[in-house]
Amino acid sequence: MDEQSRSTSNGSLALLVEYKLKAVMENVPVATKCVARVAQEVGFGEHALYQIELAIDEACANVVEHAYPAQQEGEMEVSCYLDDRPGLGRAFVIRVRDWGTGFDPAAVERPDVDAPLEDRGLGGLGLFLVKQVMDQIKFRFDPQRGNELLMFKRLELAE
Amino acid sequence: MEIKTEAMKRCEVVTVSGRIDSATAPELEKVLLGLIQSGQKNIVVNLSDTEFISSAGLKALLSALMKVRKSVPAGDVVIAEIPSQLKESFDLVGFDRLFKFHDNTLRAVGSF
Repeated sequence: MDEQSRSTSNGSLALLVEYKLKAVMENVPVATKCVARVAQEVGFGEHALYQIELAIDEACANVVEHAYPAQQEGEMEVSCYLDDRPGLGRAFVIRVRDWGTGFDPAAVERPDVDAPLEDRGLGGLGLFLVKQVMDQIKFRFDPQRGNELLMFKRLELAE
Repeated sequence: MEIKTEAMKRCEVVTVSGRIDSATAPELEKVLLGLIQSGQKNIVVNLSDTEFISSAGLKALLSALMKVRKSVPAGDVVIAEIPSQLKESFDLVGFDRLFKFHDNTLRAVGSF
């Protein structure tokens, strides 16, 4: 169903692993552990691994909580790639896919992290954190092919 | 994740061990809410044995802080012995300006 590797206009993308899981909360730590193990093999240090775990926890939790209606048992697919871009270096790419209503990061309000307590809201913290710890995120809405959230983290040699 | 609670003279100490992720954060939220609803408005959250906290956990702590600060008299949720990796997440979302942090749980208890 999915390509094993493909060339992008800038370089090449190699699929490392792909997991299909039921979109239930119990699978969020499962997905996190799997991605963290791959990321560790790729060479990320402790600090970056922690950040990657933050991102994958958030992305999967959002699918579990928002992608499908309560009665429907949906699926989520978690894939990890290595993206080698000439001149830009190597990036670790995590893709989280769902076939439901999808989760659009653009629709989430940015929390005001400088506001005093009485003006703080509870929403948007997760996505905000993902944007701080990952280098780039992209979202594509396509319920047929699967809504995709892509998260990129540059692989720096000295971690 | 394991949560232990210990009642002290002027506050409750909530010690969390393990990982506070999206799957386990609801349990932490339930414990904190339970304490607040039963009248305990002064809470020390001991994170010395906490390996990870996702945004769901951060949200649970913020929600608890908001609730106790609204009560009359206002209470507080303070953080004790936070590992540096977790502190970084707190700082990123501005929680360093909302919560009080203590290096030592006893001192945190004594602050009430």
